[in-house]
Amino acid sequence: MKIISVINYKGGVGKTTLTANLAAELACRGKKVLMIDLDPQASLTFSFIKPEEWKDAIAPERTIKNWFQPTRSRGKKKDMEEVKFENLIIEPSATSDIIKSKGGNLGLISSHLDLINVDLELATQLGGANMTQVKESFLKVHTRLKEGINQLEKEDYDYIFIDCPPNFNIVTKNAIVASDFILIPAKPDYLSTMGIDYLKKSLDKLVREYNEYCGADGVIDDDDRIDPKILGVIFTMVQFYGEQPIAASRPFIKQTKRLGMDVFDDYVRENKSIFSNAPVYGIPVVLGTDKPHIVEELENVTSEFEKRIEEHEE
Amino acid sequence: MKNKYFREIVSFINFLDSLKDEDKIKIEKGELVIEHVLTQKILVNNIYKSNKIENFNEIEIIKKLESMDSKQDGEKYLESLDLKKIQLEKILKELDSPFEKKDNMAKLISKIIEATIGFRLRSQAIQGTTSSD
Repeated sequence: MKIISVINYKGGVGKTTLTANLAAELACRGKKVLMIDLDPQASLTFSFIKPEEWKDAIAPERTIKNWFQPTRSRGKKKDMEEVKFENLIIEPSATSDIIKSKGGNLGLISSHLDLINVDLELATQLGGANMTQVKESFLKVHTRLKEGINQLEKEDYDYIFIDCPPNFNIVTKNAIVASDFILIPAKPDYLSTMGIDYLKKSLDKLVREYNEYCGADGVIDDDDRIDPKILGVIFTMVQFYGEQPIAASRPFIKQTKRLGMDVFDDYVRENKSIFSNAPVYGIPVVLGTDKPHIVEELENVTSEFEKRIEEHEE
Repeated sequence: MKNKYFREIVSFINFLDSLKDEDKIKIEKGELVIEHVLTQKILVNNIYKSNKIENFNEIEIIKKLESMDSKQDGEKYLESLDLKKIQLEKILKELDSPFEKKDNMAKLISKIIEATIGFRLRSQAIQGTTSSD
C-alpha cells in the first residue's frame, strides 16, 4: 500500500483533476485505489458525487471530518474508537461499473465543507504543561489520519491518494505524516512554481520537527519516524504550441528542473472544456473516450507515476 | 630585440601558469582560445572573449551569469560587454526565454538576469537557504 499526498501551496493548479484521473486510471488498470479528500472545498468529492447525494447520505456521518472530529451524540462527544475509518469509504456509483469491469476498485472518503473548522479545533489540542506533554499532543494531533489508514489492511489498497488543501495547516500536515510520497502538481507559471519552494520548505520543517519528537522520552518509537519522498512535480494545465509547451511556460519548467526538483517528463494539458465538464458527470476524463489524445496523455502520466514508484522501491 | 621576445615568452608562460584548471581544460577542448593582440605598447594575451560581435558567444555568457549569485553583478557584467540588442536577444533565445521585439535593452537584460540568476535567488529566499548552504 503506497500513500501519496497530492499537494501544492498554490491553489488552482489542477490538483484535484490530477488526483481524480490518476486514481481512476490506476483503478482501471486493476489496482485497488482509495482517494481521500482533505480539501474543505470538496472539489474531489464533488467530482464523483452530486452535492445533493452528498448532503443527504454522506455529509452527516461519512466524511473525513467525522474522523477528525467525531459527531456529538446525546450531548457527549463520541469516542474516537466509535468511528471506523473503513466505514467512511464510499464507492462512487458513476465510475463503479467501468472500474469493476477492469478488475479494479476505486473508493473515496469525502471531504466536508466544515473541515476548515477542524484545523482550528486540532490547533487547540496542541501544547501542554511540560515538554513531554507538548510532544505527546503534537504527535497525537498529527498522526490522526495515519491512525485511520493503519486501521485498513495493507492488502485493501494498492494506492491511497490524499488530495490536500492549498495550505500547510494541521490537517494537511496529517496527510504528509501519513504519506510515503508527495506528488506536486504545478502550473508552469511564476506563482505556481514559487508554491513548490514554499512547500519544500514547509515539508522539510515538518519532517524535521516530527522526527525530533519521535523517540524523545519514549513518546513514539524511532521506527515511526517519517520520510516522505517527493515523487516529482507534474506540470498541469500546460498550453501547447505544436509539440511543445508554449514559450511562456518553458522557462518555468526548465527552472524547476534546475532547482533540483524531479519533474515528470509527461504533462497534463490545459483543456478547459473537457476538464471542466467532467465533474458534472462524475467520470474523470481518463475514463472517457471522446478525446483520445488527452486520454493518452493522462495514461502516459499514470505510467510514469507507476514507474517512479517502482524506482523508489528498488 | 631577442631579450624582448624572451621576456614576452616568460611572461606568456607565467600567464599560462596562472590560469585556472577549468580554463586550461577549456583551452585544451578548444572552448577557449588565446588571442594575441598587438597594441601600441605591449603584446596582450587575452583568454577571454572579446566583446566584438564576431567573437560573441552566448553560451559562455550564460555560463558566466549562472555562476553568479547577485543580480547586480550579472547586470554589471552584461553592461561591461556592451552588447547590442540582437546579441541580448540571442542570449534569450539560447535560454529559451520569451521576449518581444518591442522589448528595450533594459527589459532584455532584466529577462536574462531573471532566467540565469533571479529564479535561484527567489527560491533561496523562500526556502531560507543561500548558495553557500
